[in-house]
Amino acid sequence: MENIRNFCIIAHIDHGKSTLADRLLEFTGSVDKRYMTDQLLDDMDLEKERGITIKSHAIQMSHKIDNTSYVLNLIDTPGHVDFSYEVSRSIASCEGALLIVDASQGIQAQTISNLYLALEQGLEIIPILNKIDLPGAMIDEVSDQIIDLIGCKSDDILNVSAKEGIGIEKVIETIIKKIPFPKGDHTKSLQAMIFDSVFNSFRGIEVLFRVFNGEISKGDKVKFINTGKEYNVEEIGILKFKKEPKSKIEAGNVGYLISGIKNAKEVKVGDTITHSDNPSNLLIKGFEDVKPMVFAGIYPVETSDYEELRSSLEKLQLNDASLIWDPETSAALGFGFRCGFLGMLHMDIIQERLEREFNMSVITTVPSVEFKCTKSNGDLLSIYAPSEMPELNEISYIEEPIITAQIITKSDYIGGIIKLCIDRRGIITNQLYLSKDRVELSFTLPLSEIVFDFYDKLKSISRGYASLDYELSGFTKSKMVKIDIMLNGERVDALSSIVHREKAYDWGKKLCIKLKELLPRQMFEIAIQSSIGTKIISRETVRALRKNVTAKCYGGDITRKRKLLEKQKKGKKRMRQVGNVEIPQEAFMAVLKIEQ
Amino acid sequence: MAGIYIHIPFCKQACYYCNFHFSTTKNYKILIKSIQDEIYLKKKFLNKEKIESIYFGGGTPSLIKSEYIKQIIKTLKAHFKIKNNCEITFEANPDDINNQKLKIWKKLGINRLSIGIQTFDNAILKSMNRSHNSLLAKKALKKIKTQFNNYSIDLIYGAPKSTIKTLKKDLKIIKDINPPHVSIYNMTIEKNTVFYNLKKLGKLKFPNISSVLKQYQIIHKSMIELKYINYEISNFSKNNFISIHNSNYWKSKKYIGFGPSAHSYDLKYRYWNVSNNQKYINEINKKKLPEKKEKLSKNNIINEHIMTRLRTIWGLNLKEIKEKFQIDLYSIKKNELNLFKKEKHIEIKNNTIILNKKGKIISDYITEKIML
Repeated sequence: MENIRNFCIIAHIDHGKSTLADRLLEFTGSVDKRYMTDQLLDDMDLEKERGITIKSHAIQMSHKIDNTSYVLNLIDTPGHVDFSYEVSRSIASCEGALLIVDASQGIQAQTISNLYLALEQGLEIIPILNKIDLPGAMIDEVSDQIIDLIGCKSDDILNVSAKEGIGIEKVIETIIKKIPFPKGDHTKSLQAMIFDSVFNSFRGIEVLFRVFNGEISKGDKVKFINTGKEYNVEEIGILKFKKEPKSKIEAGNVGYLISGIKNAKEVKVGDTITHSDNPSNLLIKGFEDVKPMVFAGIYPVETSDYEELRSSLEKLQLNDASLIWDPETSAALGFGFRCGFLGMLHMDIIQERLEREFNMSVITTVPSVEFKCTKSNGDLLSIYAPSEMPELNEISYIEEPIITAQIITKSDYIGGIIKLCIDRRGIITNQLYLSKDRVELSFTLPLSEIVFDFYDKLKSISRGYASLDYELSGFTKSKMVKIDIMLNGERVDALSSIVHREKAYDWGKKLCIKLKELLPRQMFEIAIQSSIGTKIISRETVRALRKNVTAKCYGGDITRKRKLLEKQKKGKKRMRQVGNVEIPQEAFMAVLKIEQ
Repeated sequence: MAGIYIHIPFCKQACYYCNFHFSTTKNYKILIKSIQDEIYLKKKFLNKEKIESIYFGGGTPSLIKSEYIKQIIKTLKAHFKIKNNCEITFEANPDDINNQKLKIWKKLGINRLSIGIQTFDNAILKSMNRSHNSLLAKKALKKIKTQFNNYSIDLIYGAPKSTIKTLKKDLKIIKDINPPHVSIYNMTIEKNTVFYNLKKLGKLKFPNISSVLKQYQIIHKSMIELKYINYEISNFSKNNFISIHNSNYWKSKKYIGFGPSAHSYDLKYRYWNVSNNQKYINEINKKKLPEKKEKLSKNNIINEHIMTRLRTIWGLNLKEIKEKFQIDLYSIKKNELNLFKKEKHIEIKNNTIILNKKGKIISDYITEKIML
């Protein structure tokens, strides 16, 4: 145990976490050169493209210093705000953390919140200034930020360029020297915490865990305390570049477990593994059942693909237990699913994975949050979709989820950001200068206001520099109303949205204007109306098609024109019909583009 | 029965709206030789089917020496079975026309001329970079009338600078000349044209849609008053002067094309030649056909059938569709058809769908809805 070091990396997107991890693997000879591709830990194409790690992974390295061999377990962490709980479990599995800060960009919001998590858990922090080779590197300034933040000495900060391989050896040495070895008692009954799981289509789910006390061996009968489920350990081992089966894993170490688990829902991150015989009664603290925060309908573009979409979602759920879904029906979109996501990025990722990995074309409706409705008769109701909203006269009051948000930005952009947050019904609660020109702003904001393009707006106001971190802080009473959209008098359920009363008129008007842009001209005039209850609040008109005719249609024109019309027709097959109006897919996401 | 199309890919200068293949080089001799070779290479294409129409298009067929035309016709006659009273159309520009040429063309067997007038308005002609003016056009037409009883005038409406006034002026001249056939095309901005680029740069002003629709209404009203039959969206003719060659495109008859960029059709495949004179010549020299082809699926064939028939006065016959393709189009498209009927875009008579005036102006929209 004295020779084990468990550590994670805390860094903002693009600050070089994956590149540094690759260098560590390379330096310790953990990977054959032939297998080196950029960013080994990021498996999914999506992760490589976006430069983020969506799901965490782990890898074991070994290194010798002064004839002593050390085992280094790197537990990777997802780099996005939506996955903060998973980050917290990864952090809880470690004794130390590398804090990587991009020397050209400085500290960002999520870095700070993850850092605080690590400090709370008592992790040893090794500050690393990365990208020191860049011409824009502000070594002194960013070093000062780090010193202010964690109270280290300037000597403690390691200057690194992961890309150029500068300072890597020093990082390894410091990990071994400074990070405490894990404490635990392998004679006690088994306590191991699940910090991740990976889906393997042949063998079921691979559970990644860290043993805190006791030891786990192949053939053991184990129990997951939270779910109460029991399994036989078919295989355990350590995670090198490839899985390496072992007969047992002892306290302090990190490993994987295979026991034929088919359903990812049974494997909850944060759960504790113990033995069925001689169990530990103690859960490792910090377990939470992660709840989705953002909800949206996902519908197949081709209505006939409903069953295929269901099986794709089932498969996705196998390796992403945080995705939840239920069948839903929409008059406009047909059969689909109401899905719950951890956040907007998670929603984007699910959509993209459906398209890329499962070749599914989907229509995603306007995202919503969970509203709590108390009805006049005293009944309580959770509303996950606008269609679930009761009639106005049945509502006593509605509560909406509130978040506390931290935004770190260059001071130049404070004005714009405060305005954005106030426009989104936010209240500023704190303003803290981290350095001369970097400020941490704290807000309370309704969650429903950040699911509509808040992040994009924030990025554009701050020219990409501001970073955001948030957590749910509770529910508060709000005057929320449902806005409906009618096309030629027919209500289109999938276009409804729930917004604050004070914004409703402006919202309805903008939405009608946006829809006018997106609806193609048809044989008829189309009236677009928005309403609250039965009251119409705005109207736009799409005029009827006036002219659409090919002038010349001789020899060569025939094929050309036929192909064009067939292509258009194919495009329109993806449209949905409500009454006599055809609605293109983009229209269902119009709300998100309302300000563009 | 089938048709032959010959593409003569040369022009004096580029008209700013035209995207047909042409070149302003003058290597006529070798290209004509290649066309003759292509005719020889494809002599079996129609399997001895009789030819009822030949069409010289371009480019500008009237630009090249009549001797070349003579050679082509001679080669055609040597390798294809040509019907006695075969319609032979020749596209000509007003500035190439004189009495002597007209006589020679007639002697070669050409019995129909198609004259690229476009408009009689000098300002519009100039803005299109046409090489003739209004006076020249009128003089040429006078000469044509003395030698040819079958000829057609091409007009364009909705061009930049065109107005209701310029259109009415054009129609007045049509009334005076009283040609047996007129094609009136709505200005279309095609890619790779000067107009396309000017439009993209915002440097070209087009009449607004209301004006164009008004022009369309006026054309229809006047042409019907002048006793023309609007037998296809853009084509008007007096009795017995319907273009056989062009009509066959809309009746899905076979055709064979020779020359760069020419298309062919044999009911199963569509073929198209390379749109480059030198590549065309090089391939033919190697005794290779410079063509690409595409097999039409059953649905493609049905869709082409729907698209072309709907453009014509003969309409889309539902019984014919049923017999030819074993599908009941009416029951498949019942909702759409009834809606179009209700809105007076189409008429259904004797099992035949015909676009009426209101439908013709959105014919692409209707076609797309009725297509499979």
